[in-house]
Amino acid sequence: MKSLVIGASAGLGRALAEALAARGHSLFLVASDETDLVPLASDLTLRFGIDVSVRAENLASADPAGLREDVMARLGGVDNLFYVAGESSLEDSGSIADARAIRLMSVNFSAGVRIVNCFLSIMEDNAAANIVGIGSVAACRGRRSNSVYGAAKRGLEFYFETVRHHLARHHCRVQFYRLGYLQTQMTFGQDLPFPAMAPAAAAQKICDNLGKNLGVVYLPRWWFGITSILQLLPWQVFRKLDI
Amino acid sequence: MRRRFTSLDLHTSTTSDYERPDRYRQITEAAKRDRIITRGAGVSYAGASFSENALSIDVSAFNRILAFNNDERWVEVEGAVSLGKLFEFLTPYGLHLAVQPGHPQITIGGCIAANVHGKNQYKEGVFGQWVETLKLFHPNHGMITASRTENAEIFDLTVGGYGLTGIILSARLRLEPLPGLTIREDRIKVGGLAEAFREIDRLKSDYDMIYCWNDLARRGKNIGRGYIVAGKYVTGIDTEKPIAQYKRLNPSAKKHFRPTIFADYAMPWINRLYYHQNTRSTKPVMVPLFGFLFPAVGKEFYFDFFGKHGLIELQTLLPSDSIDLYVKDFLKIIRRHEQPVALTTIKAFRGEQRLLHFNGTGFNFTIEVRNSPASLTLLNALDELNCEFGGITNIIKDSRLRAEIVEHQYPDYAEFRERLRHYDPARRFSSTISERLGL
Repeated sequence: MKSLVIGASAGLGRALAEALAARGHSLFLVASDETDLVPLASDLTLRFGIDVSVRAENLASADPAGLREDVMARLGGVDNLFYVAGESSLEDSGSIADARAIRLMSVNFSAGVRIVNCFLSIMEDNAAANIVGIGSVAACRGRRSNSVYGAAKRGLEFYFETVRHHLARHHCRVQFYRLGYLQTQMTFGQDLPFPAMAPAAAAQKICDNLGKNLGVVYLPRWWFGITSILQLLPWQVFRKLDI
Repeated sequence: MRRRFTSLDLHTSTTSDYERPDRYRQITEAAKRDRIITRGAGVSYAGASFSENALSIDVSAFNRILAFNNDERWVEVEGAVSLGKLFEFLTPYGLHLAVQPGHPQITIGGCIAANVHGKNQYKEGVFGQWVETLKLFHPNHGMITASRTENAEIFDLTVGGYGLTGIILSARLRLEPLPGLTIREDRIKVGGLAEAFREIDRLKSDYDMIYCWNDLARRGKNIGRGYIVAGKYVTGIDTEKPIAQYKRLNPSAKKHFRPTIFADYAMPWINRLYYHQNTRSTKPVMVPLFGFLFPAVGKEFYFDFFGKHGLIELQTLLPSDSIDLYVKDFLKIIRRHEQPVALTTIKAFRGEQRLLHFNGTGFNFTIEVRNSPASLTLLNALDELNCEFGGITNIIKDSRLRAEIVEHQYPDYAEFRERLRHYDPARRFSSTISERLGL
């Protein structure tokens, strides 16, 4: 299997790269900084004996066509595409600087759309192919915090639904994960109301689910209950919540 | 964020600033603070990776194997690679690190910073001897590549420098052929402490790994009785790839219940039981290498059993020439203070002592006692005895060791301090150890 992981240098992306490597996948890893990707590639190659290619890509100004060309040249095709990249900001609570808002929208939404769009034609008829997107439970309902981040992730989820619908007549499967809290840099130092999942555990679940026709999946699953309650709350109640 | 940190012996606890970068640029960013210290596994007996005055930079995400050459027998790894991960990686190639301390969670960066020893110090020396090059980051000096030929001064200060010269990003380590994954373990009974020293001295060249356990919790004529554990590699009987599975130590974790099992009245009985359990048969047994190398695996509860105040380890390297006299005086002090010793071990050492390295020729003599005012009085008396007999105390193991004792025992103390200040006049790296010892 040949897997492309966008946002592979840390957190869930890195854990996914390790889980895929342990299953013998050839990997193409993409992240903003090659300094972090090269050590990861070396480690996976040495420990699992797989081929790993890396590419530094600034997702705020992504070059999907160039990425596809590079992937085809070095990986020779793609069976699994994981769009794991994500970025949040503590400033993202109402009046965020324009440049910061644009970056959040690019990393969490538009770069994902552009990259998946670019790879669709080469993956849609591959019976073994999976396109996997990573969203967030933060997108279940608009709140005063993480407003741009949540909106961008909601947009990404919407796009993945359209892709899934488009590919319903093809072989390629589309999965989208609404992730709860993960033990990553994004949640580090925060006083969280619910336990955070280890990235390695989330990565194992995602790998186990490859090949299944699942649509939207909550990780951990109990977040379905929490987000359902939040979505059902009437506005008069929801507006008073400090979340 | 702020976080409470505790040393493995539970003696030292502080609340410190804490960052856990997972990208290289975040390390550079975190290191801009005035006072910092690197944190790897966080399992040093003494508080080497935190201080209330410094930002603890947890580099545990930097745990990747970077390069490996089977023919030339070297491996290059990031600083937070654990001994367990390397064990799993290297054993299929029939290679290993010659020097490995007692728990697989310990990181390579920590091994370099404390220049640790293993169970075969007499034959293989200390960890620093196996380090070829290292990459270091210091906020004032940037990235530094150091070896015995390039930036030799920095290399010399960093190996055994207690993490005070910078963040060890990576290191290239020399490897040794691994004869086998099984150890034939002999157990030899000894009747007392003096006999234990003599037997270790006699057998040290005959085995690949050797140490002695002694019972100093009991009184009377059998004080110090114990058994020698002596291991030799067995070749040709390994069939499966070993899996380095172990429970993680986390002394900084919040625990509301730490029962004092090793109470003063219970210790003689516990040690008696332990002695009988381990000397029921003196026939050689085959044990997996992983268990022999890392005897603390499966015994993680041990540290909690000293209660909420923990334990103190006094590990001393004693010259061999006057060991009989030392034992007599040592036992006099032990009898006078009536404090039971929970654990006593002896190993043979061979090497050259310099700077603040716990190295030299003689015997490594270790005792662990419950942390209490009475025990502190005993340890202070033993400090004086050790100074008198030319012993040196292991800095990384002893949370209460005073600066004046280190200054007396380590002839190069002032030189290390001066060279450290010359390299880093602002003294950006600081831990509870460096502050206590005036480094």
